[in-house]
Amino acid sequence: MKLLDKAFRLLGSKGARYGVPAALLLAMTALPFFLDDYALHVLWNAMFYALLALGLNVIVGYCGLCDLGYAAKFAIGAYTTGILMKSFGWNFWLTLPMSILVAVITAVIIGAPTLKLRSDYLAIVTLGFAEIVRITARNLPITGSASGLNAIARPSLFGLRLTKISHWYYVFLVLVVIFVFISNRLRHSRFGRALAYIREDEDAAQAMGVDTTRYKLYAYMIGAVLGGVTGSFFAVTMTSISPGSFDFTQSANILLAVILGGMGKIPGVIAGAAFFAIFPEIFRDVPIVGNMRMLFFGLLLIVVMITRPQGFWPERKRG
Amino acid sequence: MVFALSKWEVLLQQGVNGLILGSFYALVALGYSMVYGIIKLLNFAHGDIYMTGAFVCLSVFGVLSGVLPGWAGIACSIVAAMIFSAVLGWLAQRFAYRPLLGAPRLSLLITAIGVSLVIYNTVMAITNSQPLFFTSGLDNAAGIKIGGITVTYIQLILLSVAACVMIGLTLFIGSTRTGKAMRAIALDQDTCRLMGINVNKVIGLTFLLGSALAALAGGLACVYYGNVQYNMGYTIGIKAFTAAVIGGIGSIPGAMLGGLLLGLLEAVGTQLLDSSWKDVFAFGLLILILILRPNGLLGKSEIERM
Amino acid sequence: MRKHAIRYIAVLAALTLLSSVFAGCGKTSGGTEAEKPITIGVLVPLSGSEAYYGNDMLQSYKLACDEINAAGGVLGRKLALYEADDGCDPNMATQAASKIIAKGVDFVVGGYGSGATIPTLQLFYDEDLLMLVSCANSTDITKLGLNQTFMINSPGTHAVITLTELCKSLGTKKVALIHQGDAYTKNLSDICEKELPKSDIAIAKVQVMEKNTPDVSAIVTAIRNSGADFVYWCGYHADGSNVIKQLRRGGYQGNIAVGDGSASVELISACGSDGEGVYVTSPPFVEFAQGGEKFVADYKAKFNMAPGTYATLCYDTIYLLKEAIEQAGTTETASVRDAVQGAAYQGLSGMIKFTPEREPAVSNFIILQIKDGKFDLVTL
Repeated sequence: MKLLDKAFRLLGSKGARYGVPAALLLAMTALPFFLDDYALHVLWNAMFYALLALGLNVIVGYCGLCDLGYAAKFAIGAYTTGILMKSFGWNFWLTLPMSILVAVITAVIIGAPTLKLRSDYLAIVTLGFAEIVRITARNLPITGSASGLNAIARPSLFGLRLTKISHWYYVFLVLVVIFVFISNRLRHSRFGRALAYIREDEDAAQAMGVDTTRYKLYAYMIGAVLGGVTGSFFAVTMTSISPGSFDFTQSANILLAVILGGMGKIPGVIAGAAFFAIFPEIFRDVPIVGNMRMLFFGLLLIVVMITRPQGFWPERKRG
Repeated sequence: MVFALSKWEVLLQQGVNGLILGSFYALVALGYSMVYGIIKLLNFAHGDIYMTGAFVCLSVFGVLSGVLPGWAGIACSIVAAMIFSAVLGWLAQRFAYRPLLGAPRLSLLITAIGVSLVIYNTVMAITNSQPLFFTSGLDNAAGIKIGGITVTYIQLILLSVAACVMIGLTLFIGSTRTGKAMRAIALDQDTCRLMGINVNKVIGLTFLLGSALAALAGGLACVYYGNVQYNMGYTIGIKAFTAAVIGGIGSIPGAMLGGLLLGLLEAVGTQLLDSSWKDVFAFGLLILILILRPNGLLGKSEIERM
Repeated sequence: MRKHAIRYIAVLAALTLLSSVFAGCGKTSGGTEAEKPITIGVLVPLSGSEAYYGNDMLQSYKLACDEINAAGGVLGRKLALYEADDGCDPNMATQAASKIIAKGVDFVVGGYGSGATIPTLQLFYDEDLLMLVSCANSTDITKLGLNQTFMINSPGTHAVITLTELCKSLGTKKVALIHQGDAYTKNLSDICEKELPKSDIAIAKVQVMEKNTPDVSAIVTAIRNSGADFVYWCGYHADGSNVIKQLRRGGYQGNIAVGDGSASVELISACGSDGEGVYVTSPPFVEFAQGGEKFVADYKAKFNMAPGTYATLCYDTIYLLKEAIEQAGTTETASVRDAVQGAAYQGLSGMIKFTPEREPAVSNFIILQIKDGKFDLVTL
């Protein structure tokens, strides 16, 4: 474990800080020229989980709130886009602001009354709310009921119709860069420091004059917006969405990615998400292991929590 | 129509249905409430303990069926299930939760999710994700008929077992030394340590008891409903937690009341409204209660310990 | 700040590079067109809760391919299968589809859950691949309007035609429906709700039993109160026996039928005496098929287990494809597509023919009834 910390510190050192990332980003940009569609799809999936994990990270990692229903936030974005495009014929890009708006409204409805409660009550409220969203989507005709919305049109960007997985690969790569940028700015802002304060000691934060409920609500809203936007892009990439994509397993997966990677630490969270998306692909064809990967994840989760309660690659505490 | 019931008969029959369902919720909710009360852990794996109980009951009955048929076999199977699950719950507590008792509560909750994943996926792998069926050869329709209302013997047994357990548990918590220790730890763990209470032992005992109750519910469900599958614990886990919160988490009578209320609500809701929205109402009620009365119907208000 | 951001992306890149090493392996090697096998992509769930069915499907495909290869192959070329696990999950399924596409297959078969199958269809269509959907039978599949997607399994509309006949012959007046809230069972229930009233059969009540919420006593009471004399269970066999038992325990005395999701021999033993007289609108059961005994024996000999509910459909899918390729005389998608469209193949599961909408033209549904602890074929 000591060795691991050392390796991470090396990665965070000055030299590596600029060289390694620049090279890797370049590599990511070049990869589609060398890889087949399947590999690109796996990478796309990794970036998709990375986006969700970055969104949830604002709630769980920065603010220390437990959200067990993140799938609902991403479902809301996906369905907003899907409904506006299917039933009202909107252009995809115009649905994005609506997604954000709906995400904010639902976050306020759920967050405002419950964020005052004990922290683990929030966990169960978010879980209950996620079930409500899923069942509602399943029952209503406008959401396509249980079959969901199919044949959602592929959008165009600068005249290019985004149909190939390589197109979406680049779209999501740009999204990851944007999300990372936002997360990073958040973390180093006054707001981010307030959140860290709340996470470490809520009482003390309150005593120092931080309006904890309001800050928690903001964090919750930002997390919901990031999830909603990801959901919108998910809807047009997949071209079909159904309630089955937004069940508890999905919420748990995203949470696991955040926790395993290291709450709060952006590269950790991305690594967690990438691990989560890529690991099963590598071992899918290996008998037994492929089928029991969730068992493995469960064990890993317990071990990581006990040995490294702050996650695999945690945020370094400042003295 | 031959099958139609009068309005009152329907309501009464739904009341009976709700009581049965509520008893299951209450039994599982008790474990949630006890564990939450004592270490403030939302034990996510509790539903899976219930599921394990059902599986052990089914397997033991399968082995015993040649030797001990009928009710004797069922009783032995359920006891075996309770013992197995109690040990399982205790092991989870000992190796996964205890090392984290001082850690942030979020870590503890996530560990519980990990435990849940492990149990769930192990059973899934063992059963090849196929359902198993419990067949006892007992006449499941035999019972008492009052007017149009039917109460089967199995239902009567189920209700009385649940009632006995709940009364017994209330007495145990209320008047034994260990029960007192449990309540004391819930209030202040550190002081209890200073007072010479073996806190770890009492916490372990709480897990033993709570898990045994979940397994009792699981075993009864196996006998009553007859089908057992690896994912049967998830929904009842959330519902039971909902019940515990409605009644006031940490409160034993609250868990029972919450369970029965939720069961009745679902049954009457199915009758009067539409079953496709049933769970929306259950979870909507949960959120509403948390907002309006965060400590539940019978819970005491307390300040969150950091 | 910017540079920080870049650094974080780097981590993702490092991991993805690693994965690409794995993903890069396994490209098909060269060889002339005539020597190369005809590769068929198989999209089935091989992990997760539906793995049992996916495995059964894959084995049935394998059995058919091995038989064909032993007899000399198709157009002098061997058939080769390339399976990808869709996990019965939409997201995993699109990845699996990409995997199949990247392999450069000639045709695709498979498709178990409709929810997981639908998002893949556009991907296959974009790559000009013919997709024969063996099991998934939601009518949403053909509603996509992709002219290279064919549905082999009879959709819910066929089940309901069979059900209507059954109801009529029993003099049914009011039907209560119970589904499980997912795409497949709700689709079936919706079709019943729409079609049955056309034959003067009223819908008394539509109820939902969520998966793994075993208590249906409240639903039973509501159904009894609604005056229904026929209950149609649209759900799966895991919960089916429980529903039947609780209906009987709750004093319901009318007829009960279950849909193809519950067409499993396990239903009989699980229901015990309560199962007697229950009807099943079933996909072609291998025991009642012409030449079924040989298939069952071959399957058992090869895989050491009994074939599942959808085995014959999958087995027929490969033979249908073989016939179509031979008729077209080429593996070119457009020609084979036309040959499939015009096919009339008599398989184990019955006659396979397609409507212009690429749905089965002939219903393959049969009615079974549980009698003395086994399934009996009912002829109306």
